[in-house]
Amino acid sequence: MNKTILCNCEDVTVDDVNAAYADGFTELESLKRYTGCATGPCQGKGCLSEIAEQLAELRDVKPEEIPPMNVRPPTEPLTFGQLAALEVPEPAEEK
Amino acid sequence: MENSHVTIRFQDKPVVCRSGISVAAALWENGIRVLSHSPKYGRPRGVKCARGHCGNCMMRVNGQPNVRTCHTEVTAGMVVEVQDTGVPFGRTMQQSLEAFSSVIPNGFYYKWFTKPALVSKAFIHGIRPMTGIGKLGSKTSDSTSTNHSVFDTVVIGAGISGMETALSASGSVLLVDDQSTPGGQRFSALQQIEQLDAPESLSKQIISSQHITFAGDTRVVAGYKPGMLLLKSGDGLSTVKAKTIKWCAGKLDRIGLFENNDLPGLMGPRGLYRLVAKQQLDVNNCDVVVCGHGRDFWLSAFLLNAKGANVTAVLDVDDKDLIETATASGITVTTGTMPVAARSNNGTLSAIKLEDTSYKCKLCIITGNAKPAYDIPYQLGAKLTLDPARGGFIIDRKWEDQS
Repeated sequence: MNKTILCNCEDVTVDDVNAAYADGFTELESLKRYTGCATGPCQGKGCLSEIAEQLAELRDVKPEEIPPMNVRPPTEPLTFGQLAALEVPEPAEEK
Repeated sequence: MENSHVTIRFQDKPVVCRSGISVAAALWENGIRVLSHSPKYGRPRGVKCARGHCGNCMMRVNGQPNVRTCHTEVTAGMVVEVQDTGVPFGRTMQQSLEAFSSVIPNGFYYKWFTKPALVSKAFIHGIRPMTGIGKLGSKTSDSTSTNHSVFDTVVIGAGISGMETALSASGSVLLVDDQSTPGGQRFSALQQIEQLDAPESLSKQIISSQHITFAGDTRVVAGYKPGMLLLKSGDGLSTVKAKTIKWCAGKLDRIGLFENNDLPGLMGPRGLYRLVAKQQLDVNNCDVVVCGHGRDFWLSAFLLNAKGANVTAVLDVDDKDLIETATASGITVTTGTMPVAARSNNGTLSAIKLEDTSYKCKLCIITGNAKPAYDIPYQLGAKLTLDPARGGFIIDRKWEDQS
């Protein structure tokens, strides 16, 4: 089956994004939540720009009008074991 | 070292591979290029970024799931398995639903079969093996050592710009890179074709420098304001606080959008450098097409040529002088378009189709238009602007993290 993949990790195709856009998911954040794009092991490293550019094309706006989606820590998968072992340093004094 | 071999077990069969290379590279040399299958459509996937970013090379290694095999060195007796072998009849549920794609273009919707509770329970029981989700590992093998350190400057990325930044910074400097030695991705490739000594002298200066600490095989996985970073290495996580953080992480490969752009065998130049230059992946007599333009285009073509591959370089801009130089060194250079489709045979790349012609190949390197790495500066408050002409989300140059 021939497909054009936008997001490798979550298997989101260009057609999936176009269909989601037609269904009313016209922001990067809502597209992400509906299709699952940019939520896989790469956390958007492989696809964020591609999806944003596709969205700019669909909305027919200049690329700079598409803000990036929120990139929360961590930027790659960690295990609970790694996180549990982490000693968090004391926060700096409030000014 | 050169001649030593180790035997690993892949899908219960012994596989002999050179020691010192990654599992993904070892399997490639043994003709195994499909390392995983995609979660929805069950499409074959192979090593792509080769830098531990994507999930394509995730396999079960010694019982531990989701191990990035492009970054895992082979050891004798290592047990490597494909994770999604639980898919019945060789088809995932989504593949089966493909037949109804005219009615349900988006495939399976997650709210189906959620009510009533009894149906939901039975459905979840059945759907887990069907989606190919593997079993969890029985115990974690993570090391638990953690520490916290303070530096005046942290430089992220030890490429040429990162090394120069580290050398010019004053005070204590931590230089972080995901490779084991400083030099960056192009360094090993340039070394192989005996060009440019600058990176080597820079990396020697880094290693001998008193005020620079080099943290190899380490990734920055989070940035917190003001000026704190979370690092991940083989020893586990650690935190580092810095007055100044310099982002020199360079760019990410971009394959581009065309039919079957996810086939094993399609890679960017950065992945190629890591596999062929750093890990010495054997590409002798392999049919390779290099597409695109720019510095990475030529470096990829020359590197592959030096390694004995049958290189066809398809330049998407016309540059007579460079074409003559390359032709003189035995590379077939033509001009053409970027790929419009890829074709497969047994799940791996067999041909790449351009607008007017098509080439048979097992490996295709797509260069030009790489994307700047953006995630940590974003978390530290940098402004990102989408600019496709410059490759993607561009970090505002005026951003400085001086906490």
